Amino acid sequence: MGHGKVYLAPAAHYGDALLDALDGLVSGTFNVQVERMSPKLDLAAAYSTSRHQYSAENLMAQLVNIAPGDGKILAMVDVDIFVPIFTFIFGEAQLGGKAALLSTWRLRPEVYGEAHDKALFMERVFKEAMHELGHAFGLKHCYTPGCVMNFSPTIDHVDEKGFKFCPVCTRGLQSGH
Amino acid sequence: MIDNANVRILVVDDEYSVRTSLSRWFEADGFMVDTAASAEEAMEKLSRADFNIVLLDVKLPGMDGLELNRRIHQVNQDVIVIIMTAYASIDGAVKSLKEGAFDYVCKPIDPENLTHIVRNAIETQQLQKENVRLRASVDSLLSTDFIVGESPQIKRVLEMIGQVAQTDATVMIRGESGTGKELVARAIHANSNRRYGPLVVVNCGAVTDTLLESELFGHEKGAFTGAVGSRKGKLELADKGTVFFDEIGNITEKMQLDLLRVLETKEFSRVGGSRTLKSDFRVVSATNRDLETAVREGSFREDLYFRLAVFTIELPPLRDREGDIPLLANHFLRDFATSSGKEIVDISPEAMKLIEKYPWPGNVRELRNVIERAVVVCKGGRITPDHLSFPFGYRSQEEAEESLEAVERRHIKHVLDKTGWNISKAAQVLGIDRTTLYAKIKKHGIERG
Repeated sequence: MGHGKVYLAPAAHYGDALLDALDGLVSGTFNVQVERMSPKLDLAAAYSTSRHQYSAENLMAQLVNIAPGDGKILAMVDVDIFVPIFTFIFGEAQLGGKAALLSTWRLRPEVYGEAHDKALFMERVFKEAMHELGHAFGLKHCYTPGCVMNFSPTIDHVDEKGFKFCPVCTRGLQSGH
Repeated sequence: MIDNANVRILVVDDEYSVRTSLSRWFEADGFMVDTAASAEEAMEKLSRADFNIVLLDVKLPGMDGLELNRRIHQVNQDVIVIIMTAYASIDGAVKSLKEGAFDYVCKPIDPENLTHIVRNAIETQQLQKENVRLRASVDSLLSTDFIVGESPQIKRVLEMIGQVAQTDATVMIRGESGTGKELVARAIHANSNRRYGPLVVVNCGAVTDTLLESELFGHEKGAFTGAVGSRKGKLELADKGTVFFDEIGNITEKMQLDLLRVLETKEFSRVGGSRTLKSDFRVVSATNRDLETAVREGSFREDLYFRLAVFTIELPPLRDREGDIPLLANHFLRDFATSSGKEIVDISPEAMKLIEKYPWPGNVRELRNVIERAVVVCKGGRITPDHLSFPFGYRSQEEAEESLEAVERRHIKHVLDKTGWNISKAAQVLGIDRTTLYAKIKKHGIERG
């Protein structure tokens, strides 16, 4: 793992507590310098009137255009994103590429009719941010129980896994895959 | 554990975004993924590489997904096809299931649903492969290969097994004790359509009437003293398989009548039970009794005899099987040498001569026992006459015609070998002094080894 840079690009208001903790987690886990940037994403252009959701493909295309050349970018949006074939996705990343996108919309307990729970929300954001960045650093889905690279098709799956990489995925990060 | 890296998925959809989303999604899961924008392109890719799963959109330009599904299954039954459909075309998706598709998903797809279906598909395919592999290994185990012999007599038996195995006719196997009647019954079962069902052996000669009744029909709890629980009978257990009645000639008149009723209706009740049970079994029986005479004398029911002996296979005694004795002897030698881990290469010509001359009243079973004993006493190398033990008092024709001098020579050599050429001990056994023994060794030219 090199000493690269990760740009954390929140496109909504998340509060310093969440972002500061995420900065620390990302820099410590990936051994990178983390910089904050404000992404100029045109959400309206990504909105689908038929699906009432935001196109992840459109947002990813915008993200690739605005990504600085010296690192990877993780954009966080607080809208429901989709790709045409799926009902929704939590996030998307270029495998081994420079852009990763995370939707925090479906990570909110309120979406599932539950009470607001800041701690639970933060935990879910950390897990999915690490997961999408894991893809950007070249990792595929992992089946080791608890590994953050476990694929999570539902919020229950997100809650079941941890926010750390298993030893195999950690080795994968270290070797640059 | 499924290794996704070994699973190839083909995504067939005319929409570029669907192809890229799904291939990215599957690639992140470690699968090998390829895509096709039309049925024609899919056919072309399927002809060039083996895919485990095809994810197929119903609506395609030109040939539609349903037609492609049909064509795929005409060519390859093993490919798992998952249909992707919009709500409007669910009827078509259901139709495709009838034509071999594994499952369908509605667009847009719920990610959890797709994960679940793909996992099921892979597990199903692995089970199918495992099933095919197991069936192949069962088939190789259940053949007639275990009946060894090249003689015209045994070839005729194998031919008859081949003729009758595929039918549901009852078979009566007749032959002397030790000729391999149970092996033939197993070969009939193994080559029948019931081979994946059970083969249940009932030894009619070894049990009393009451016990046989409970063994065959089963019993309910409390049916008799000691019946602490209910138990299925062998006829019930043999459903979809074969029942082999060994020593059928030994059953009593009452049992003959009970059996006749069951064979006519395939219906019976457990001992102490009132429920009528049905079982679908085929009957193969064996006897070494002359049942025709028993029928004439009235000790065996004629109607039962005819029901059991729709087809009869006569097993020849070993002494009448020309050329099979050396084949069998070598076959058993290989078996026992391998299982005992001994390096015994062959049977010496002298030993083989003795084996061939012996009349084998106990047939193949006796030959098998003699070779097994020989392997136990042989330390390695080859089986010699010293390793063979025939029943006490047996003398081969050749031995009977030997001169006194030849007998003396053979006996002295035998004792010397047994005593490890300890002259004093050998002389003591032979009842002569050492000098006489030396003289006789010289006279007969007996050498060590």
